[in-house]
Amino acid sequence: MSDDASLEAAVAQVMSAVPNADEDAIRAEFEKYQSEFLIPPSDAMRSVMRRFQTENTPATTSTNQGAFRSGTTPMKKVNRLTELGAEDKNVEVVAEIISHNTRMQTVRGQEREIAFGLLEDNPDGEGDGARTRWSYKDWGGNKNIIPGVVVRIEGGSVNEYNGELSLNINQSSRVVVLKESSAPRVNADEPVSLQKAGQVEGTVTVIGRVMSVRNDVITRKDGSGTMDIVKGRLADDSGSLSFVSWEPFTHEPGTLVKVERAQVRRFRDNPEMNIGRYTKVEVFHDAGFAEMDSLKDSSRVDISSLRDGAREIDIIVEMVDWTERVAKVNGEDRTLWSGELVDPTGRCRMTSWNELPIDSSALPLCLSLSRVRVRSWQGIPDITVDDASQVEILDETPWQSIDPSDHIVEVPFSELASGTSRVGVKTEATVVAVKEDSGVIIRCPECRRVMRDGSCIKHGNIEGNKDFRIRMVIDDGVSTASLSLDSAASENLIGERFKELENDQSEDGKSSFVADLRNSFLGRRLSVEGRAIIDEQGIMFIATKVEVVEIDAALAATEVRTRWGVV
Amino acid sequence: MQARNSRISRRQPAVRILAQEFGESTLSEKGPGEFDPAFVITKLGAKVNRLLVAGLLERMEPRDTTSGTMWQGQLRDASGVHYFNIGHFDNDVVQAQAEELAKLHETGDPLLLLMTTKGRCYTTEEGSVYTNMRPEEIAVIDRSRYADWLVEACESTMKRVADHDAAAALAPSREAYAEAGIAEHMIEGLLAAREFYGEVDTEVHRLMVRRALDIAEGKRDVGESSWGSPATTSTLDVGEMSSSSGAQGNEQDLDEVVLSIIEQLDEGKGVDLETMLAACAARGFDQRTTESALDGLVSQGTLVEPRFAWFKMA
Repeated sequence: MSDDASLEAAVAQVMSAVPNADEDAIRAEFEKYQSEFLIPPSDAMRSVMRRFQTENTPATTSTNQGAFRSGTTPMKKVNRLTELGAEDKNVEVVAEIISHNTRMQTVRGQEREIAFGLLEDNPDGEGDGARTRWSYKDWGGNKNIIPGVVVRIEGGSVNEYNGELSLNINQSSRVVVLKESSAPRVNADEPVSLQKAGQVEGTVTVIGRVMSVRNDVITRKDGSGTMDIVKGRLADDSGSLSFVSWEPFTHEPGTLVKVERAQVRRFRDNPEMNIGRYTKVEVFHDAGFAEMDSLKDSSRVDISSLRDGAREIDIIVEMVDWTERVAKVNGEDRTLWSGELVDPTGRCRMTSWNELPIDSSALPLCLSLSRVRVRSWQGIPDITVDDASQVEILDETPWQSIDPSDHIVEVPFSELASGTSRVGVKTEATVVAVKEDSGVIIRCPECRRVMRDGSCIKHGNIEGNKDFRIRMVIDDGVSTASLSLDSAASENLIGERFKELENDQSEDGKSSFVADLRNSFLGRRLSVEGRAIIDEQGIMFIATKVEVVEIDAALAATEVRTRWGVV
Repeated sequence: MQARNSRISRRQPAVRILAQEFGESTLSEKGPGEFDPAFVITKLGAKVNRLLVAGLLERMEPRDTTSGTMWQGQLRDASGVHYFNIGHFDNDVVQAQAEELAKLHETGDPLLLLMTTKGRCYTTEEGSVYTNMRPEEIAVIDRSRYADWLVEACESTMKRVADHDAAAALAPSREAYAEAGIAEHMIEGLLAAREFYGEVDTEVHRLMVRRALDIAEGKRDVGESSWGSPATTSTLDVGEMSSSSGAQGNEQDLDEVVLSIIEQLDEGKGVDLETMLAACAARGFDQRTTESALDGLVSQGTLVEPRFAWFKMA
């Protein structure tokens, strides 16, 4: 048969290239490609050849790492790491590389670079979407393992140490990249700007001036005591980056340092540089490096760039509201202060658990806040101030006083999409979908959740309140946002039609309402005002005001001609 | 930074695209994961999963299949034709709309539609590759919204042309493209398109854009002819329905419209019938009326038909 003939020819070809390989193992390998992956022997040749060549070169056969892959252990293919046991060898699994670090280690008298890090299975989030995280070691020096890539690891083995399972990627293992990383790649030994380092997930080397340092103590979760750490911030011309040092860090603010091989990880949305045992920190000399004062100005952020989880930040804001209230914390009454801040880029909240030297009758006041941290609640950034020394009241506001009742910042849609959650913004995009659940809804009076069949998922059968909303999807051709209009905004958009729907709650009435909406608004450009919550799923825009943007097509056409020179 | 660990796949944006660019695509791409989005990659490097398209409904026919009625449709815009299918796999709303649209189409009145669709490529048994769409949302629109859409589609087409031309002069690498300022979302598609299609002449896209803009500017160019009020302003009234107002234009008006279209679009070899029909439809004249006007002008000797279905000024 031709199938057998081509198989035998392929086996013979591999045997001639690798004479000491096991012929049956080669045949089994080709048959596996054919039956499991529908890849004929001729197409599988390259892969099979490479595998047997690696396995049978003296260098690898002498290490016992490769020995178990003689072909007698069948490949165990799993979808989830949880399917693996401590005894499993020669396994195949698809995983996303979360982190990747290297260090030199002496193996049998030879200096070798060993890579280790974390990986997660189920990269596509199938099933319940849960992912299992394991650590791994790469003994093969695979250059294609970088943070963020999704790889198929063939021929890995499970390692057990102190009851914890981890994955060994061996010299003979094959690593196939299925999806490139979206994170930028940097050389871990070449210094990069802090701005670039903030986009990396993994090892970096940076040069920066120490802007602030603060000793901190964390309590270990396992109850084994406390640990001294140092938190702080570095800055350069490109920006600034907060750091945590797990090792003693004695450099004073103002010192210029070179930090080699630190780990950048993310806490919520915010990048943070970790200085650990393998990181080298030394004083760096560069007379031309920006001085502290100028860096202080450039590392100051504005409200639009606040990210959840950011720490050690400096910002100038205008406070428009400051109120004292009492909240129950762990059954105890505690006083806290909270208020509202604005700047030309937007608005946000501020909270303090300690009394600050702010006279709420003197508002608005301009404040310079230093080394504060940010938490977000439902997409609204909230600056937490821990003590009075972080607040300085400025005599003059660097911008014209802002009227908080009418402070709406216009943001291009693309900028909104690439940024972080914002309050009090206005943007424009085109309607590409009208959702079927637009119209009258019944809300639970307790929690405002939408009720189904007269019952709330949390509060059961209850008399609900009638509400009205329109849900759409808007997009600019590059990014999309789901848009929700509250009842006032909806009425403002559709006017009379709103009342008609009130009176006609039949199924026909509802669906013809949505059909009308679609015919009226699909493809229309809307200007929306409200707040944008931005998370992993994209943009959710909650609009309190909306209007159709009237386009003068002829004029717009002329603009297109002029801009692109099509006349 | 946002794309990091995108465990939950985000909604794909709707690419504003003319039928010609989408229709000539033969490259598709699908990620390894079961729920990874599939893309059609155009010669200009657009990675298209979802489209925002508009045009004249040209065909809407039911076909009986084992799993129920499948509607086959054609949507013509200023540059060419989109093909779409609506079947049992689509949501009830779209299926119901398909039936309704087929009825409306039967009457012969022009029907301008705007649709959000999912695009795909398929290969026939003979090995030819065609594109096709599945509508997700359909709206019946007036010509002013069609004009708005045309302008938006032209703008994004020209952006792609510019990116494509800039990229063609660079080394084919992500770094080189990023350094030259090509938008992040375009880079992958441009690289894939370059590898697959090789050198692409973008002149045809400029031509299509020119045609589309002519149609979008319609009212200004045909001046004091149709649609009741004289063109004191070039603003197109939002809300004015083309089918109700445009169809009232009498034959005399249509003749002028036809002549002005030919004057504008003829680049030497005349203008083909399909383009004429689309251009006139965008101005509110149905197919039959346009055809008879063309016949009339040819027999008068104002127009000549140098070859079948191509028209030129005499």
